[in-house]
Order: sequence, then C-alpha cells, then structure tokens
Amino acid sequence: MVSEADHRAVADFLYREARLADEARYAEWLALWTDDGVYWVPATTEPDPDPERQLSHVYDNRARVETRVKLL
Amino acid sequence: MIDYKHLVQDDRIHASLYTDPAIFDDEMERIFHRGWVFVGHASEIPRPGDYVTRTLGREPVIMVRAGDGTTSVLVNRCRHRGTMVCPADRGHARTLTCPYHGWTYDLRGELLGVPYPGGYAGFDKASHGLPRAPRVAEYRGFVFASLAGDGIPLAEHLGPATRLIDRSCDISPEGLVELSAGWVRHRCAANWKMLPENDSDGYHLGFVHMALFRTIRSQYQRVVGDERSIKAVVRDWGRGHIEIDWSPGYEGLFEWLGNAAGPAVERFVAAIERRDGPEVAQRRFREGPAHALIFPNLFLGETNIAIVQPVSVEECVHWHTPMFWKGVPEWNGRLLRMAEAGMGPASFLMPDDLIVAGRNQLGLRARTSPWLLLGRGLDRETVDGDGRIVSHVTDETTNRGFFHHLRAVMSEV
Repeated sequence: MVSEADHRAVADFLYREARLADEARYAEWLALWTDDGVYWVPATTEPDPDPERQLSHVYDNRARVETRVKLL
Repeated sequence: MIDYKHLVQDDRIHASLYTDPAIFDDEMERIFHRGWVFVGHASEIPRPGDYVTRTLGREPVIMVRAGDGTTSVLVNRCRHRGTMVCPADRGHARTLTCPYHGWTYDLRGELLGVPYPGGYAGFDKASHGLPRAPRVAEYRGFVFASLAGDGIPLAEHLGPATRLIDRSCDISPEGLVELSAGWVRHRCAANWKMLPENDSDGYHLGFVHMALFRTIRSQYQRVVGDERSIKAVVRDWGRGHIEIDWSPGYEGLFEWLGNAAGPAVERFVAAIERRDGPEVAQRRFREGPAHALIFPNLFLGETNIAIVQPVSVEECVHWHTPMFWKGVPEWNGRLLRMAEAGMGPASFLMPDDLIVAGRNQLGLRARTSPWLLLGRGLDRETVDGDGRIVSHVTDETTNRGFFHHLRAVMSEV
C-alpha cells in the first residue's frame, strides 16, 4: 500500500515532468533522469514484451535520451 | 503500351515512373507478381504450423511451414467469399480456417472441408484450395516466391548477388541469421522505388543526416567531408541488385558495430576464426554485413533487414527487424538497440529519410520539368574483375543499376 504522502510525491513528479516537457525546458527535464533510467516504447502487442528479445520502437538509456534532446 | 525505353534513359528518368498509377499497376504485375520477390525468412516459421502473413505485390499471402517441413506461400483469400483467412501478422495453426463461414484448409492450402456441405451439389474440394505461389525457393533461409509458373530460376535472378547475402550470414558462427525480434512497419508517403533508391544513396548522408552526425559519432561520417577523401564505393551487381560498400573507408574492425570491444567480441572473433581462419575472420569483421538491395524489395541493411512493400503509386511501407546471428545470442540486445537507432518511426535515421521521400513525391507532381537526373558518376565509374560496376559512394551507379534492370523487366514482351 502506498502512503498518501508517497502518492502525492509521485503525482507531483509526474506533473512536473510533463510540464517541463510541454514547456520545452529540456535541460531541466533531462536533469530528472537517473543514469539507469530507461525510456521504453514496446513495438509488440503481445503480453509480457521483452526488450532483450523483441524489437521496440524506443528503448533508450540515459545517453540516447540525451541525444534525442540535442537533436531537437 | 508504355514506352519504358523512353522513360528510363541512360542518364535520366521520367517523373511519371513515380506518379503514374498505370505504371504502378504494370510494375505490380511484371515485377511483383511475375518476378522473384522476397517473402520472409525460414527462421520466422521454425515449426510446422508456424505462419506469417505478408504482401506479394498486391496479393496478401501466408508463408507457412507444412508438416513435411516445406514452406508454402499461399494466397490469403478464402475461395468462398474472398475473406482473408489469416488476419494476424503471425501465428501457429494445425489448419487454416476462414473466420467468415469456417472453410478449413490444410497447411499446404488444400481444402479439407466446408460446414453444411449439403448446400453444395457435386462440390469438388480438390479444385477449391487456396491458390499457391507456384514457385518458392530459398537461399540461406531467405524465402523468395513468384506468382508466375514460368520464369528464370531464383539462382539466375540472384546471380552473383548471393555473395551479398553470404556476407550478412557469414558473420554468424553458424552461418545463419534469425529473424525472431518481430517487425516494425513504417508508412511512407512516396512511391515504393524511393526506398530502394534512398537505401543505396551515398550522396544524401551529409545533408539529410548531418544534424545526427554533429551530435553523435557514427560509422557513416566517413562518407561526409572532402569528396576525394571518401573511400566508400557503390556497386551495381546486375539484375537490379545494388550495394553501398562502406568498408574501403573502415580502418579497424567492428566500425559497423560501433567499434564494439570486450569479452563478447573476443568470443565472437574466436568462433569465426575457428571456422574460417584468422585472415578471413579479420576481413569479415572489418567489412561487416552487406548494405545492399536485392531487387526488388529486400534490403540488407547491415545488422538489419528491411522489406519494401508497395501500397499504391504514392504510398509504401518499410518493414524492418534486426538480423540476429545464430550461435551468439549475447549480441541480440545490442542488435536490437542498433535497429531502434537506425530504422523505424522513432529512430535517428529513417524518419528523416522518409520525410525527404515524401517531399520528393510532392515535388515530382510538377510537370514543367519532368526529368530526374541519373547521370552522376557516369564518367568515373569502372568495371571490376567480377564484372560489377563500381564508383564513388556518392555516384548514381546504384540508381542506374536499379532502373536499367527495371526497364528491362518492364519492356519484356
């Protein structure tokens, strides 16, 4: 069970992340990422997709996310 | 009768080749229905009953492995009311049953039964099977089919270009690639021929992809810069098969694999050295897999494979998946990440290419100036000892190879 305080912190984080992206504040947005963060958009509709076996649309580590920001 | 000898000349081609629906119809018939077309890879259907669905020109087809291990390419259309029998991209079945009225076919396309047969008097099941591609042939697991009963054998169609397929397969310790990662399909608002042409165009990299090269290091940067210092070449292998060979510009091993290093590389090198000896192994790892089009629709995109699917005169779909190397599954993750970087709608290369292809298509609607130039490099290309035409990587030797073969196929009586 998630405490009310944790729930609030997670929701605040998600709002903040979305706001930074919406307002194109990419340096601040990128600073939210930890080094082991992964941005994943599976390409399969099968249950339990496995990014080490199946092709994804996006499976970015921190460095690749940063490359995308630089290309904007 | 369309005069293809007028539309495709030695140094220019006519815009109607990309915009005329009658030419598209003609291409579907002559190139995609009569000729040899890539359908899929044997590794996609390893067990009896496995199938994938594809399009052969305009025909929806099922590539399926039967109980005896043979591969069939069946037209995906019920003989009763025309319903697509297999609507899924892939699957596994003991029989193929039409979802509309339950007509059931075996894995070779023979009609096994129809529900409520009392409604048919004197019904001949044997003459109501799913139509089959009369010719299906494989080279190193790559399955090709033709909807025509007669024609040249696959070996003649491929000719020496089998060496391009070999180059991609021989990187694998077992000599086989595996296509098991699933396909991503990327729609393109351009005529299908734009994709084979762009895939073998070494001239656009420093323009279309320059933003990427300014941001990250890439093996393709070796073809950007002073014209005389670029060592990569293009080759015309004949019969429409065309290649970019980056390897003359590579200085070390594994440049095509992002200069991979470490224990996984050492095991990989050791496996290929055991099989081929150190000299051949070093060459394979320096050159890397092929970057080539097998006419008309198979693109060997180094560590990826792509299919060009024509849809209409101004629309096509680019399919891609990584080629896993059988025997070294520890590379699959890296090959997946390379596929995601290079191809597909969220990648770093293909979206730019397909936007330019769409702009080509829009520009070609202009009729004030209907000719496209095809003559770049005509004065400096040479023929090598194997009879292939070779030139500077930015030359249109590849476009000429593709179109001159297309002209020959389209002009056949």
